[in-house]
Parts: sequence; structure tokens; C-alpha cells
Amino acid sequence: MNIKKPFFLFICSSNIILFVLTPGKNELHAQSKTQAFDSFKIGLKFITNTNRNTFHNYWNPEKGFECFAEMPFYYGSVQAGVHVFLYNDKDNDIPEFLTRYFYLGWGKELPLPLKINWFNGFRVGSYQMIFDDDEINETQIMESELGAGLSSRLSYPVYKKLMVGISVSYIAVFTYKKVELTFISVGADYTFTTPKWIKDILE
Amino acid sequence: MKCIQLLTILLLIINLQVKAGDKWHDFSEKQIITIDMIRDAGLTRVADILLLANDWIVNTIDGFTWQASANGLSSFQRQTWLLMIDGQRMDINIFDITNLNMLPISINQIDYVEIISIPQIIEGEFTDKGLIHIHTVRPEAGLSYHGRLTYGNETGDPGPYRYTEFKSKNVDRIGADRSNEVSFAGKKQYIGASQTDQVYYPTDAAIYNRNQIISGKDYPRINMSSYSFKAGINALKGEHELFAGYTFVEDFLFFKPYGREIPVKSYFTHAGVNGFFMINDKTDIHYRCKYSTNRLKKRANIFDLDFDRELENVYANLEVDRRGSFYQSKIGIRFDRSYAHTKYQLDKDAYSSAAIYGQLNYSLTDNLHQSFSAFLRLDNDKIAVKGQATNSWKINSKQKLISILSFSQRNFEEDNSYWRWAENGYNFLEANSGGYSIIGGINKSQQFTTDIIWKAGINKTSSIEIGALYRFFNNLYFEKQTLQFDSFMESFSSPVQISAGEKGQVGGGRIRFNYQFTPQLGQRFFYSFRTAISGDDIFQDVWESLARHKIGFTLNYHPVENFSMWAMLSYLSSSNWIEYQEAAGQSGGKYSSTVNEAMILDMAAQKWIWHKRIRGSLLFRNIFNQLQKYHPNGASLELRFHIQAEILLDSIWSPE
Repeated sequence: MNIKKPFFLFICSSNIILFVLTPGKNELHAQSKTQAFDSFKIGLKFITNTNRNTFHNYWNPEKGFECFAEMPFYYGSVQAGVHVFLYNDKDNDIPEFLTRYFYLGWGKELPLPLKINWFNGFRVGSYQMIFDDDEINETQIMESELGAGLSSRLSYPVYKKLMVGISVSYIAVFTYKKVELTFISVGADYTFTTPKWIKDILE
Repeated sequence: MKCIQLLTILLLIINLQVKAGDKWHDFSEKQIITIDMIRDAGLTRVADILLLANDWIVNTIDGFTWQASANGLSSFQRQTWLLMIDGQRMDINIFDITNLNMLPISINQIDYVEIISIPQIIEGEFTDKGLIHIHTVRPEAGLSYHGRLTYGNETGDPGPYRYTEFKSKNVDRIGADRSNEVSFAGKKQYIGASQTDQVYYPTDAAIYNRNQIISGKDYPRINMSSYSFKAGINALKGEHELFAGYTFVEDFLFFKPYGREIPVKSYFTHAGVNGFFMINDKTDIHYRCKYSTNRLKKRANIFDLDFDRELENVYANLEVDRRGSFYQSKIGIRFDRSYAHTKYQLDKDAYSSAAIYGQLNYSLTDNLHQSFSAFLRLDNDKIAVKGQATNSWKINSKQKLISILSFSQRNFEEDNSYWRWAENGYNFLEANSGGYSIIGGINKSQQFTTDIIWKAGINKTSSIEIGALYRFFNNLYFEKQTLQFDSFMESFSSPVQISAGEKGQVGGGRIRFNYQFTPQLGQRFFYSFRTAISGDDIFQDVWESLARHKIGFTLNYHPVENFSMWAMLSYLSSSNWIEYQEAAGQSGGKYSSTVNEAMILDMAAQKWIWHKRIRGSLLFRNIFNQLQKYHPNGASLELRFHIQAEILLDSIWSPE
């Protein structure tokens, strides 16, 4: 399935709208005092790459997974996570490689009808590529580059604080020739109450 | 004779009984950069503070070593601005290159920085070309530990495309940099020690080939290690400090007369003490002395180039400060002796200089304050006279008008340029197939400066400052080169002609506006403009290499105490480097003699945790990935990010 530009525009525009809805002073302070770091969510997702471009003329995307943690921040929520994905070579002269995207993110969750929550945010991080190449020296086996992108998630509570969700995300890897990837993922997350001593440290 | 006459006049002025106001007036015009501003901006290296210096224009070739011009006081050709740590002069300049990253401290040891952009006497020095004065943090009581780890990366690596027809070269990686500092402080004394490591890869496409060819290594790398020790005590009715430091850098020194970077090992050692005794409630005696060495040694290179040069310096300064109900004055004397060590045969391997100076501040009325200073410097048998006069008029409770006039002569011996060494027999260039000629004799230069500044506090949350400047220079010397591009070695070459006796005038102005929207959100705006008004052709050509317009707009947002966001939009107009004109054509478009204007957005965020014991910071530079170059043959600094973690464990243990 090819994901076309209008789809990105949609994700972008939804995020821009969120930024435009800048919090008022009182609103921000209200959250900072009552909600920031109150809970933390951990989740696991299975991901698949959905777009096709020049990059895919050389590599076939396999499947991957993503682990993340998310906490309410002074406004919105912050995320930290890692996304792991394997790309198989299409040509024997070109090695396959494994990617690890360590990211930090921020976003805002909006409640929708039917208990559905809609999260939109952005991420930045280190996109590491580990090449399966025996002919290069050890220092060149791994290369890392800045990765940044957007994410959007719909989630639904299935049991107490356990939620299932579907997400779309877009990553631009700022290599000399930019790598642009979009993913769809499904997964689950669980929300815990933050122990007081951890909240105390984080505040 | 002149020297004695001027000194007599100065002493007479000091003894004049003038009407005075009750309060002291701070005459030193400066920009202060605090540690909070440094942290907000996510800065990771000491040299990064130049990016916050409003009135300074900077350039860099590799992104690690920066050159600067302070408020129109010099061009890029003479890097003669001064550098101090806690009142001690740091002589790290090597052949007109002052790399702030060579200081033996890390950025998290800084408490605040004074950027002096107007000639005046500070800590026994006359700042005719500007000064950066770094004040380090005084340790908290008890045992403390501070540590920092930073890592950065510039975008534009080939990534997986290196296996395809889209392959490209790897670009700069920044760090990882580390620093550790341990200190112990009691009620009246403290000691502290620090260690810093920095790594930088000068591998941008514009400089990679030059560095790779000369070093013979695929991944040219700059390594820096430094150590410092600091101790202080309050005793004898005063404060006394010892600072010692050592820096070792494996560097690529861009040596323009040779047209390329040369791998070098650079060593800097410094040990100094300074402080004051209070004689009575009106008189203090200040003292400063230091010993330093600055050494360049060979680092492996295919041409076997070896600067083999060491400069040893001993410095002593004694100053008497006196306060009265009518005036505040200082008078001082200082002495410098330098020893040169090299394999090249020098005409003279030791050299001395002495100076005597004085300053008087007084208030004619409650609203009118004045300051006069004079500084006489003797280099061998040459006298250089320097002086400054300031008038500060408090128009009303919100407005102030300041005018500053200065005149300074500068002996050739005050510079640490290659040419001063070459004239003394240091023939590195001739020994390595280079050469130079001097047209006209290099004599004492003169500089006259005028600055007029109007400051107004509009209300409690906003202030404005407007200034105009004029500079007149006479008897300057400039390097004149018509660089040719060597496509095989990817470097530049040209015979060097030193053109002496040059003169010219510079004019400009600036506007600053600060506004605090809310207690959480503030903004600062500045615009500065400087240009050569007239002068000899080479003077005007050299000033073309400095951007005329500089704009900065900074937003600071502190929504809560432990989290902040910072953004700076900066604009630097284009500059033209005439000596690269022919080389640019020969390089087939790889280089250009014009550095284009650039509008750059930087953004940073920081979060404190564990009751301000741990700080995480993320900085993005050049977010819109514009072409950001500072030098015609320098790196283009694309979108890059810096991440740093800092741990501040203050007062972990205390004997009480």
C-alpha cells in the first residue's frame, strides 16, 4: 500500500492545529501541578512499513516492533521509545541492515466519543543503522543519523487501564539523500500510577 | 619622557577634588552571559559562547575553532582580543588563532561571561581589541561533584545509500565530550579539580579532502584533553585565588599563509595567582601573576611540517584601588617577560614589556558620571599610549546616555601573529617552500574609537538600547594573498605580501530591545551594523570579509521552574573574501569567495530532575537546514543536534 503525500499533510495539519491550541497560562499550570508525571504508560507495538520510494528499490522492509513509555508532562505528554526494524537487501551486492530508532517525543491526547483517545505528536531521535557487511571495518558497521517525524494514535480501553491501539507514524532520516518512511502499527499499552518517589525526582 | 608626563597628569587628576554623588558608577560597558543563559541555549563547548556575543562577528572553518571580530575593533586578520579566566589572562593565541575550546575548563564550570567590546582597562589590561572574561563557579560548601556528557551529530551522512549510486561522504560527528569536576569548600577556602575530553571530526565535504590528504587518515579527528585545578582562600582581609590548567589538543590548525590545515599537537599550560588585600576600608591592593607556556609540536603529516614553537610567559601585575567619597581610582604597574623556544634560529629569544596605568571614576553631579583612564606600555624601547574617557549622563530615572572615546597605540610586539615571529627569524614558511615580503615597515598602529549609547527602561518589563560607533585605524598591517586552488592537494597557495601602513575608518550602529511578555516568556532582539566607511583598498577588502548586518531574536520560555525552551532566529549578511576569488573559479564551483547570507533557527529545551541535580538538554541548530557557512573554504554546518546530560551533586558531604 502506498501512502501518498496528502496523508502526510493530514498528519502535519492535525499536529499544527494542536500547536496552535497553545495552552493558556492557567491551563498549563493546572496540569503542571496536578497531572505532570502522575502516571506512566508502557506499550508494545508491532509495526510494518507502508510507503514505497527510491529507498525501497534497494531494500525490502520486513516487520519490526516498538517499545515506548509515555508520561503526562506540564502540557501534553512526553514519550521515550525505541523502534526496531529490519530491511532485507534486494541485491546481493548491498547488505541488509537493522535499524534502531531511539526517540524522545511530545504530543497531546484528545478524547473522542466512544472512549476513544486520539494522540498526536512529534518525535526526534537517533536513527541507528547496523549493516550486515563483513567487508567494512568495525567503526563503519553502525551509522547513526538524526531522525524526526510525526505520530498519530487511536486507542481504546479494553480492560481497566489496558488499551489497544492503532498508530501511523512518519520518520524522516536526515541522511544526505533523505530516507522517508511511514509505518502502521498495532499494539497495546498499560497505564500505571507513578510511585511518589519517582514523581518527586521527575518534577 | 612622554610617559612620565602623562603619568604625572594622571596622578594630578586622581588628586583633584571633584563634586561627587553618593554611589559608585559602573563604567564598564559589557554584555553579560550567565550560566542560565548558557544552559537555556543548550551550549556544549566554551567556544559556543561566541554565538551569544551580540556585538561580535565570528567565522569558523571547521566548526571547532572560531575567529572573532569584537564590535569593529579588529578584522579577522588580527585575533588580538584578550581572554581571561577569573582575572587571569590566558595566552592561548597561536599565530593569530584563539581557540576558546583550548581553555582548560568545560562550559559547565562557567558562572558568567563578560563580553567587553569597548576599549577600557580591565584587570590590568587595556582591551583595545575586546575581551572575553570567563568567571568560573565558586564551589558550594562541602564536597561536590559535577559531571557532564554531550554528544552531537550533523545530518547529511550517506546512511544506507552508501551502497548505491547515491553514495556520499560521512560528515561531522560531534563528541562525545565528557567533563568531571570535584570540589570541596569550607567557610573561607575552597579547592576544585576538573577534567575535560572533547572529540571532533573535521570531515565536512569542504575540508575533508584537505585534512585526509595531509594526515593520511580516513577519519581526521581533533582530540582535546584538559585538566584544571583551582583553589581560593579569604585571608589577610582579602580574597586570593590560584588557577592552574593544562590542555593538550591534537588539532588541524588552519595556517592561511600555507593555504591549508596543518596537523599539530598543541599544549597549553597555565598557573597563576591573583587576589587582593584590603589595606583599609578605602584602599585595596590587587595582585596578579602567572606563568604559562604555549607550545606547538609536530603531529604526523605527509609533508613532515613541524612548527616547533614554544612561548613561555611570566607576568606580574600590582594595582592599588582607592575609594573615597569623591572618587574611585586605580593605579597599577605590570610586567611581562616572554621566552621563545624553537629549532629555528631567532634573532632574540627573550623579550620584555612593562606597563603603567591608572583610572579615575568620579561623579560631577548625581546624574553625571565620568571616567578617565590611561595606559602606557613599553615594549623594549617603544612606548604605546592608550587611554579612554567615558561620560555617563543619567537623563532621568529611565534614560541614560553614555559616550566613550578611546585612543590607543599598539606596538608590533604586542601581537602574536606569525609575522612578528617571522621578523625575529622564525622561518617556518621559507623552510617549507613558502615565503613572504613586507611592503613598508610595520610600525606602531593607532586606533581612535567613539561609542555613543542611549539606554532606556521603557517600563518594568522592557528596555531598549541604541548605539552608534566610529573607529579610525592608522598604520595597520594586512596579509595580501591571491590564493590559487591546487586541485590535486585540495588546498590553496599564494605568496604572502604584508602590506603595512594601512589606514581606514569603520562606522556602525546597533539596537537592542528586551521585553518580558510574562514572567515565563521573554524575548531579546538585537541588530548591529558595521562597515568600512573609507580607507586604503586592502583595508576595505579585508573588512568585506566581515558580515555587515547581524540580527538576533531570542525567545525564552520557562513555563515551570524545572523546564525551559529556547529559540534563536539569527541572520548574518553575506561577506566577500577577495583573496579566494581566483581559487573559487579554479575549484570548479566547490568553493566560492562569497559567503552567502543565512537566516538560521536554533531551538533548545532543557529539563531538570531530582531537585535540580540532573539536567538533560537537547539543542537543534539550523533547524531549517539552510546553507550555513562562515568561511569560503569552510564547512557548511547543516542541521545538527546536541544532547547533553549534566549531574550536579552539590554539598554531598560536609564536615560540619
